[in-house]
Parts: sequence; structure tokens; C-alpha cells
Amino acid sequence: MEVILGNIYCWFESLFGQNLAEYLWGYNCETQVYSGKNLFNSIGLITLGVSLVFVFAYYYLPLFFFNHPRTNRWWNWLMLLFIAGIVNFVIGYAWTINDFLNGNIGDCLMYYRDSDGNIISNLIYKRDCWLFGLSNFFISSMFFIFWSIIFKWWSRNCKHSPCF
Amino acid sequence: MNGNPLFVLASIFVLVQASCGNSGQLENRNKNSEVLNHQKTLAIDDSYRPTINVYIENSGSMDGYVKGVTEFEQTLFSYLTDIRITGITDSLNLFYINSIIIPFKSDLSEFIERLEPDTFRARGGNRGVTEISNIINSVLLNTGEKDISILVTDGVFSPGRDANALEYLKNQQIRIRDYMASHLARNSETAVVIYKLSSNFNGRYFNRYDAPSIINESRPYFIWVIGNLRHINQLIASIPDRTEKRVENFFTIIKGNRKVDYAIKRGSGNFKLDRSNPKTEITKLKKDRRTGKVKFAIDANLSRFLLSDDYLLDPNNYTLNNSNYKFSIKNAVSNPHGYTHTFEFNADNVHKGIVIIMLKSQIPQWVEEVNDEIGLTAIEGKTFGIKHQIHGVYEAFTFNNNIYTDISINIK
Amino acid sequence: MSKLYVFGIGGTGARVLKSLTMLLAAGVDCGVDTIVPVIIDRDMSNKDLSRTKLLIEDYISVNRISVTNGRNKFFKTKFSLLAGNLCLQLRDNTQRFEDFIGRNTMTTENKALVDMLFSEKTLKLDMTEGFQGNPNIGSVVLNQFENSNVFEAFANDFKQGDKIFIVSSIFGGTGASGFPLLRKIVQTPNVNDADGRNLQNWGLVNKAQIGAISVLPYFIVGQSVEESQVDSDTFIDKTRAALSYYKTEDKRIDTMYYIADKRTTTYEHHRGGDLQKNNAHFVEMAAAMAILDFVNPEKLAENINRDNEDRISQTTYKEFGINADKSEITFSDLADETRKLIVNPLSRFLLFAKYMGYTVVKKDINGREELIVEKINKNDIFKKEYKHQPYARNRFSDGFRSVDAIKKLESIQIRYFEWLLEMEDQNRKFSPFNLLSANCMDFIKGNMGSATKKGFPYKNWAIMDNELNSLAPEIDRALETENSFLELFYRVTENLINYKN
Repeated sequence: MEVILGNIYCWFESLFGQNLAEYLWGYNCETQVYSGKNLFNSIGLITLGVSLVFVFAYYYLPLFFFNHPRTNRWWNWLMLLFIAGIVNFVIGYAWTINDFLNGNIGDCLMYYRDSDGNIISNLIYKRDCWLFGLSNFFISSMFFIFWSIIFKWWSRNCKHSPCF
Repeated sequence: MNGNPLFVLASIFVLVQASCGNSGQLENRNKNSEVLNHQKTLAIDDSYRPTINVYIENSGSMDGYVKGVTEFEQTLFSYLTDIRITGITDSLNLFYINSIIIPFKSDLSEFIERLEPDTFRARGGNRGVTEISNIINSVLLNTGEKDISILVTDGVFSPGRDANALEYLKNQQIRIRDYMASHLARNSETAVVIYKLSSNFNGRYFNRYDAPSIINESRPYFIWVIGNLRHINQLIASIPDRTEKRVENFFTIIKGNRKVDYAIKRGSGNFKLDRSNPKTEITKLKKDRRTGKVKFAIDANLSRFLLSDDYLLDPNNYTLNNSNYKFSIKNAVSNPHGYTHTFEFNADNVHKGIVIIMLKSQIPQWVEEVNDEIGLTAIEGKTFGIKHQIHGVYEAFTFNNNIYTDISINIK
Repeated sequence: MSKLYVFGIGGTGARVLKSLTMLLAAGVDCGVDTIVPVIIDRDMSNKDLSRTKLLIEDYISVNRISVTNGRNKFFKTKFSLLAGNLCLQLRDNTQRFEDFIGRNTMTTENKALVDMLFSEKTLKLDMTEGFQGNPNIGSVVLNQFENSNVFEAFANDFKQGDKIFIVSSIFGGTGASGFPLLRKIVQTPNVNDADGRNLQNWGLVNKAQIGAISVLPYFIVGQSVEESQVDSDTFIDKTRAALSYYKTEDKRIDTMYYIADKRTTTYEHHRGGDLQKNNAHFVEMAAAMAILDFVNPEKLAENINRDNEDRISQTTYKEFGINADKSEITFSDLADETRKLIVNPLSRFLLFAKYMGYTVVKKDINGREELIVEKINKNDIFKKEYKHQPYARNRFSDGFRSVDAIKKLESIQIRYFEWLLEMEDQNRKFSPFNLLSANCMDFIKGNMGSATKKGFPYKNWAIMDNELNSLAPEIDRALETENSFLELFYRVTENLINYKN
């Protein structure tokens, strides 16, 4: 149950790398077990929530262009999916880059050291954080579709947007 | 049992000395500094200050070791001095032992350094026939939980004129096993270390019939160190390196069935660590992309067994339950977890299931080679019946099984 | 299931019936379930007549899909034709008046009498073109009523509780003389059919509630282009003459309505036939409202006064008035009662028509800028949206507008627009709407703001789409597609436009 979100994120593991993934699973370098917080759950729940908010707004919020007869075209929906994706991209990137820069990620995941303790190579790079953000974009889109399928049916104006 | 001067012991009993049967040859090995490091990480625990009792066998066969200035004397003096210097103990007690235990109240120099056969003789006791099993038993009985006993002996059996030598040896072995087992029942954490050294011996050598012959040559002698594993570890850790490396071989044993700290090595193959048991279970094991073979590695901390690196690096000392995989062992790279060795496994295909690698307790090859089963004359480098002493100890420790530890992982 | 038989005599009768049809299409409340229109005219090629006939036939088609057991009022009142006919034709079709009365077969004495009574010109009159303003001729000729088989159908159809109403103009030819004649026939007992047999229900007909409206002058005929005996200056005189004749109708009619307009428009002068096509006028609509007033159950007490033997004890006389004598009338110029009756239906139906893409545009025709009614793609919200909006999805799909009833509905919508446009193009303009507006909610002129829903946060046509989507789920799923279409649009326009006094 509590690994569902993490497993979903790990479909994209080849994008952001196994080491960042281990960190997000909560791998603790000292104890060598996953005793840390499962950040996939934290970030995943936020992503799930953000996409839900956008979906709900699109279908039900009586404001601006939400739940509006003129924005019930499939490409309006797609735009919103994209926007939600961007928001979640930023969240994903910001969270990981913050941990990356503040040294929250364990040493054994960050660097590959030789027997004297000198760094031979990095294991996690800044670009992995970007790529994690990108993965979060994709996952946000998946969640967006998922919530849409569930919630669109009672929308007054946007019920058939998009038509699945 | 007939004594000779002891020589200064180099402090390299720190495990890494003699080879333990890798290729079946007697070897003087230089210590491996890496292994030394492992031992050095053991801090001296102030809450436990053991009492150290040193017993030197002073039966007649030992005289040749103390005539003149011998390596026997020098090594022992140096060793005991070092022990005193480390401060590991508050009470270093000195004894001579034959059929009785004779305490000696003077200083170390008197105790060993300036020994000559007549002074040796003068220490007293019954210096005639002494059964080794009895000596060992006496020492064991006087070894409490907080004691370290150091026994120095030539290890030569003297069955006597009338005895059936083979029966005698077997008998002694059984006794030693028995005494050891009783001791173990009271002190399950007992560790036994038996060092083999050599010293020049000038004096009378008594064969199995008790018939003496005058010899002036190098003869083996043995230092037994018995005590709580923890104290033994402390002792070994605190004794400094000495340039004179006198220990030629050694045998160590502790009770098995221990747990060690081990973990699957992250990144050692194409697999995922199991989330709930990341140290012992892996999932989605696949062939390595580059080599096309299946591989993974396990790090383990094997430092508490008092075993030498050579012993631990020899695959023959292990049993693997899963024939699908082949393995090799090497020293672990520097890591903050205290892992000393790494097991590397590989196979052509993925085989799921439990993989258990067991570290066995085995009697090193040198014991067989140093053993003289005949005992008629003094054979260079060999001791009559030494194998039976060691086997007896071994059998007591491995009564239930001879597995030191098993490292088990699950491939899901 | 009560019916009202409306006899529209002459061109005016036809035009008033047309206004009535428009009002009922828009959903104005009617006190009876069914209207049975009968247009009485000699001049069958009258364009007004043919327009009205087409309109009523289309209305009947659309009425079939207006049955919803819901709230729908558009086209709710039924129209029913007697023997499938709208027009009561006169049996004789003799061309000239003198032939009709059979002058040539008369005795010399009778011939002389006839020559004295009627002018040469009158005798030679070609009667297929109406009576061209000669009521004296009309009264003779129209005695041919009783021999018609439509009358037979009328008699057979008539039930207890049905009512009769007669619409005629007091000027002009056919109408002026037809009204009292018709009234007399209807109240004559024991009338025989064409084969001489006694008509069955005639007794009921005799006793039926009967009302009538006489439309007084409201237009002037312009200078004559062709030969025509119609002359406006004689209108007033003719009115006076006819009115005195009507005095005899007192206590023969339950309710008598009058309407006139001093402010007149000049119409093109045509003798009749294809070219007599007068634009709709507010007066005609008001006359139609008289019909509705007559059958209004709330007005029963004031309209009908019968004694114990069901004889008319008193005739109620009613006139139509507006609040101020303005040349341009909007809703605020109408009396409260009038507003209550027509503001909502007219506005709602117009909103419906606008949604379907109909509007008034300025177009250059033959060098002149004219206003015409057209379906503009840009304004056709239905066409633009039906693919996207939930209310239409899986319900009103491609080809929906090709369904016969819907095509007829839309054609009525165009004509409705034209009817409103025509009423604007009179000297006395009735222009309560800004017909050129493409906007959803602000097409009602004047202080009618309270009538329309604000619609926040939606703007313009999105307000209507939102309302459509909102109400679509409430429509009975068992209804046929076309029926649900009307029901839905009725409910939506009802929600969006709700004028209360």
C-alpha cells in the first residue's frame, strides 16, 4: 500500500537515476535500511493533490474559465493538464534540488569514494533533480487523467471534455 | 612439556601471522596491515579490566628453553612486558605449572628473563610426568569470566614407558575435549588462541617413552591464550606491532552460531533492494547489462572471530548452500559500517531463492604438518601429539556444529 | 379539451390569425387546448392567406413535438384544421359579380332593380379578387356560407363547451360584411347541410359562447398603381356605415372587442392577389390578444353574461389601450396586464431563435440598404456548440436539424423574426427588442433588466450554454429527442428570462 506511489515513480527511475530514487525511498546511509521518510509518498501525495485541485477546478469551480461552456474543448483540458504538470514539475524539482544543495542526501548516495575517502565521481547530479521534476510532470499528467476519468461525470459544462 | 627459554613474541598474533592451510605449507607471513586496522578499532573497554594469569610449564622437558639467552625467554619477556604496558589489566599474575600451580611473586625479569634451568627447577612442584590434559584443566578451572589465562608449554605428550601411545593420545584428546566442554558450559564466550613459535632449545628432549636425548636445536613451543572473547580481542588489539615476528602459526576458536553484521552491497549488480529488508533481500535480479552475467555482492563484518585474513579469504572455509552461484571473497573496501570482507557471487542465470554462505570452523592445515604422531625422536619443527590437543579443543567447541556464522540472503 | 373556433375573415382575419399563431408558438398562455382556425375569403390567391396557411400547417407539425408532460409552453396550444382545410372556400367561383347574381338570367324587372342598386362598375367587378371595399356586395354573396362542407365539418366537430370567435375588419371588403353574416348563421337554428340535411350539433353551436373583434382602420392605402376600387378616404365613411349595422349585434355576442390605431402606415396599394401582402402590425397582435382574452378563464365572469336560459343577457365591450401614445412602443409602454401576457413568451422564443442563429442584418439589395432576417453562421450558437456541450452530446447530434419537425420549427423561427421586424417597420412601431443585437441577454429594450438573469460568472451566450448544460439532466429521458429539445429550451429560456411585474 505505501509503496504504490514509489513504484509509480520508479517507472521513470531511468530518468532521474537509482541513487536519487534510493534517497527518495528513504534509504539511510548509516543504517543501510529504508528508515528515512518515504519522500515518494510525500511528493506523490502533493502531486496527486495538486492535480486533483486542477481537475476539480476545471470541472466544478464556478469561476473564471473553469466549468465554462467555452472551455470545454479537449484542448482546454489538455492545457490545464499541462499547467498542472508544470506546477508539479516545479514542486518536484524544487524539493529535490533543495535537498541536494542542503546536503540532506546521504553521502553514500551522492558520491563514489575511494578507500581513502576521496571522491572519485558523483552519483547524483543537479540534472537528476531536473529530470525528477520532468518525471513528476509525467506522473502529474497521469494523475490528471486518472482524476478526470473519475470526476468529470458530474460536471455541468465539461462532462465530455475530453471524451473518454 | 620440557621447557626451553621463551623468545620475545612479536605482537603480530594479531591474527594475520601464519598461513592457515591455504596451500598446506608452513609460512611465516607478515601481518596484513588491513586486518590489523580491524582489530585496532576495538576500543579498550574500561568497565571490564580482566585479570591476566600467566602459567609457564616448568616440567623437566622445558629446561632446554631457558638455558642461556633464548628466543623463548626474550619473546615471552617482551610479550608480558607489553601486556603490562598496555594497562589492559591491573593484575598480571605469574605462575609456574606442572602438576600443581605455583604462584610467583617477583617481577617479570625474574619470572622469565633471567631463568636458567636450575632456577627453573627451583620453582618447585612435581616436575616429572605431567599430563597435558591436566595442565589444561588446571588452567581452565582457574579461568573465570574476567580472567585471561596464558599458558606456555612445549605441548609434548609423555605417555610413558608402558602406555599404548595411540590409545594415550586419543585418551588425552577426549579428556581435553571434556575439560574444554565443561569450561565452555560455564563460560560460553570463551575464546582459545594457540600460537606456535620456535625457540632454540639446548637440553634434554624426552621422547614418548620418556627416554631423553641431548639436543641443541630449534624446537616449537606453544602459547595458549584462553579467556572471554571480548578480553582476548582487547588484548590482541592493544598489543603493539613488533618487528620480531615470531609467531609462526596459530589456531583460534570460539563458539559458533554467531550473528554478524552483513548487508547486500548496493550497486553490486542489476537488482533492487527489498524495501522492508534491504540488507538481506533483493528483488528483480537481472543479468548485468555489460557482462551478461548475474552478479551481486555481500559485505560482512567478520572481525570478531579472531580468524586471520588468509583464513577468511579462503573459499574452502565456507559452505554455500546454493550450487547455482559461484562465489569469491575479498577484503572490503573502506567503509563506515565496519565491514571487513566482501563476498562476490555470480551465475549465468537468475536463480531465485535463499542463498546461505556459512563460515566454518576448521583446523588449519599447519596443525597436521606440525604434528608428530610417532614421537620417538625430536623432529625439527614438529611436536609429538600436538594435533590431539588441538583437536580436543576443537571438538569441544564444535560439538553441535562447526559453523561460525551463516550469512543468508533472499533473492525474490 | 375545449376548443376555440376562430373565424378570420378576409385579409385582416388572416393576419390576425397569423399573429395569434406567433403568440402561441412563443408559448403565450391560452385558455383552451385547441384552436381551430378558419379563414374565410373569396380571394384564395391572397398572399396573406397563403402565408398564414403555411404557417399554421408548420405550426401543427411542430406542435406534435411540443408534447412533453413537462414545462414546455412553446407551441403548446394545438391547432386543428377542419377537414384538413384552413380556408372556407365559397362554392361558387363565378368571376364577375353580375354573373354571380345571375343578372343575365333575371327578368327585365329584376335586372332593372339590380342596375339601380349596383353601379356598372360594381356589376362588372371580378370577384376572385375580393370585394375591394364594397360591403354591400359582400353581404349578398356571403350568404353562400351555409352550403359549404366545411360548415358540415364544423358542425360535426363542435362539442359542448367549445367557443367561437370572429375576427374581421370593419373596413375593407370581405371582413366588413362577413362578420354579422357569420354570426347570424352560427346562431340560426336548424341549418341544413349541402344535401339539405339538418346539421346535428347545430344546437350546441347556437348556444356556444361567442366573441368577436372588429379591427378598425390602422392603415392607409397609398396612391393607386393599377386599377383599384380601394380608396382610403372612404374608409372612415365606410366605418361609420358598418358600425351602425353592428349595433344590431348587441346581445347577440358575449364579448365584443374593438381596436384601431389613429396613427397609420401607408401600405402599397394592391388590389389583392399575390401582391396584397401587408406587413404585420401591432394592431393585429393586439387583436390576437383579444382572442386570448376571450378564452381566459380568469376573465370568464366579466366576458360572459348569460341568463338562466343561457341566453346572452349582456354584451361586454372591450377596447385595447397602451400606456402612452408613442410612435415607438416598447414593453414599458404596455399595460401591466399586457406585459404579463406577452413579455416572457415573446422574449423567450426570441432568445431561442437567436440561439439557433437567426438574426436581423443590414443588407444591400438593389442599391438600398435593407434589413432582412437570416441565419448567420457566426450567430448560430447551436451549430457551433452542439458538438462540445454536454446538453447536446449524444442527444442532438448531426442531422438533428434535418428532422422535419425541427426544420419546420426553425422556419417558424425565421418567420417569427420577420414578424417582429415587420412590426417595427410601421408608423406605429412595435419594437420591444433590439433585433440587430447579437448579444444573448441585452436584446430587450427598456427597463426590462429585472427580467433577465445575471448569469455571473458566464458572459453572453455562455450563460445560455451553461443553463442548457445545467438543465439538460432534468429533462425526462423517455421523451423523444425533438420533444426534449423543446422542453429543454423552454426551461432554459424560462430560467433566463423571467419578468415579473
